[in-house]
Amino acid sequence: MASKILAKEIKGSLTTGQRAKSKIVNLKTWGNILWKIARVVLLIGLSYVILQPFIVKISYAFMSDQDIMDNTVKWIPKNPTMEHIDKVIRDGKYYECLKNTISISVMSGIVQMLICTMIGYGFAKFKFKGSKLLFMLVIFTMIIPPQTVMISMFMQFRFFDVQVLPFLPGPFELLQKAGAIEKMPNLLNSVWPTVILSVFGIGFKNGLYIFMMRQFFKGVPDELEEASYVDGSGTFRTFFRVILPLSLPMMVTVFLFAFSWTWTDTFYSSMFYTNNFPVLANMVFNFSNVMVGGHLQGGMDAQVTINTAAMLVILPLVLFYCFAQKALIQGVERSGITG
Amino acid sequence: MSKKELPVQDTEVTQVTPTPDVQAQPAKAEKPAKPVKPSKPAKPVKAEKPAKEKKAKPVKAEKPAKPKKHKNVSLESKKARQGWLFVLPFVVGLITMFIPIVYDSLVYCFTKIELNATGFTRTFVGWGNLVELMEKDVTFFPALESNLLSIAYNLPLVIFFSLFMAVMLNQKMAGRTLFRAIFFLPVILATGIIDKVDYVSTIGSLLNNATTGSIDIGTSGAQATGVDAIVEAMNIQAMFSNMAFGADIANYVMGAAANILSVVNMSGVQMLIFLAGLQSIHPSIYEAAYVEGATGWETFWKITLPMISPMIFVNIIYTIIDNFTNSSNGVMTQITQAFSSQSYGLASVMAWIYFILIMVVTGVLALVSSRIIFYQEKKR
Repeated sequence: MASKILAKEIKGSLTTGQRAKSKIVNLKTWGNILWKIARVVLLIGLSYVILQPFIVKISYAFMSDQDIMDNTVKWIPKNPTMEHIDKVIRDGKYYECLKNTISISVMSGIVQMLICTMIGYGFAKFKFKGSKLLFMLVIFTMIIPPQTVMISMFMQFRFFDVQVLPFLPGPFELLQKAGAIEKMPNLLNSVWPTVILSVFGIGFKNGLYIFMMRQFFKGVPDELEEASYVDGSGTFRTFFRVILPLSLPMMVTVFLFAFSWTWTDTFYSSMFYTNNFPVLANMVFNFSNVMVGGHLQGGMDAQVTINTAAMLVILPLVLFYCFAQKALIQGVERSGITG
Repeated sequence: MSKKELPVQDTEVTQVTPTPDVQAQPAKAEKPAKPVKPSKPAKPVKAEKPAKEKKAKPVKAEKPAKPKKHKNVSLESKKARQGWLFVLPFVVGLITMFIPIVYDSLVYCFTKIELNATGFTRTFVGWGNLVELMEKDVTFFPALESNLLSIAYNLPLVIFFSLFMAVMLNQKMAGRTLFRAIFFLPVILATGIIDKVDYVSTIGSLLNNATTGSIDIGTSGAQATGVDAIVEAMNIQAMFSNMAFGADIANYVMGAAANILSVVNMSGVQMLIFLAGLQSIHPSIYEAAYVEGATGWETFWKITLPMISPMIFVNIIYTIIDNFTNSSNGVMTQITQAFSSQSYGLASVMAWIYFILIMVVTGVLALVSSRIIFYQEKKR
């Protein structure tokens, strides 16, 4: 009590002292004002740097050819047109792409969120033999460049097989050799590669999510679970009833990362999906072949179409982000992605 | 005789092993075993059988001891088993998918692969792919070198910039939420597609610039945003040349300012990590510093920086990995090209050389920076 009162007194004396000082305009307050102005200028300037390319690209999407050639037209088109957007929606099978992309992104977002939460919890709260080695392997999946395993991953899903040991033939290979099936199953152009990778927690950037969840759970006090155990719940009941509700903000963050990074990812989508299974990330590159709509187009026209396509790809994502950004930032703030 | 000797040895062993863990148990286990002895011979009349039961009894005496021993470690082992259950998906994925995939890609380094209708054929070529890479490919190793240089160039930029921005976005001011939303936009959007579109259309815009001189759709940062003009107007070079730092630093700062867009795009996640770290510092520490009369500058250097040094470490590692594995850098595009032109073996060799390089660089940096970090003492 006494110390509290003392602290209050100290605080009070400080604030009165400050008030007295602030009446005289001294160097410090001027410095503060200057810093505030500089801060706002800097933030606005950098925000402009971030947003400007998007604004330019959006305005180009609405420009007619005439405007694009015109040097005086900067941001606001003189003759706005929907021509490019129509072309992308028509030639790029936009709605079909959108449907596929939404299904893949939502699926991988939810599955990766759940799986990575589980794995992260296992690493954070349980001590078992080999857990350190296993976690090293998680880091390993994180730092291995996707290009290193690209070919074998492609082969894995082109000629799908379940191998327990790398040098042993899997069941499908044996079946093929026995003559039961003609070809090894081809999982490309379906959602299966993404599903399989997500379920096993080795999908796109999943190492990072596991790492994030582990760091988060390390910050959750053990007493919470102990209380739950004392009350008679088992580990899994504790996990679902106590831990999961607690970690919801962090899970939302992981979901948002997984969702939006799957959405814009070009690496896996160009490896797993061709035009038989159109996705948004691949749609853009269909226009980069100069053939559009069956006949050759001019280089500049293709450029404009590509930009329009890119804008249409990220448009749903940006809308989504506008609604979800608060949850994202809150989640990350609470995460304590500490060392 | 030998039969009698063996069980004796057994009993000795069984009695010795539990003693370090549970001292009272063997004594207890033997006591109930002895009272049983007179009761059991009552049923069998033959003299040989009790001798056999003597053999069995130490085993019986051991059996009740076993579950007890099990119970003593059961909480830990149960927890360990449950831990395995939680990480099971990853373990299964690792064994059935990831390790075979990594193994395969290692094997591909030494093979030539040809696709056919029913599958693919591999022919072992030994070091052939590596030799081919060394002899024929003149662009790979220079690309590797320039990649390393660009990371050495970008790393401090990204770390300083993201730390600076995180400190700034952590301060209370009007419109903070809006600014945060804008600054984290690149986190969501800058993974692949915009990069690639910019790449594709920059080439196009360069071509177009040559012919029409008016197109700048491919806004690759400086040119279109006018940052270049500002940098020139500020005449940073002249400023630095007066300060006798040397032209190198002047060029570095110039380049940093001109590439501000790419720096911003690269440091989104880092900013998030720093921000999370800044918010985990307890305000009472700042209060104490304020009471002691520390200035903002001192507070930053003496409190903020040491407290978030673990995050600096995380960010250094993340930035390196992110830069290395970014699919738009020179080496990665070369590997992708080799892959798409169906020279799989060559692509694998390139990728593995690259991966080993990443491992070495990350490992060295992790070692060096883990020496410097200040860890806040944790209770547990």
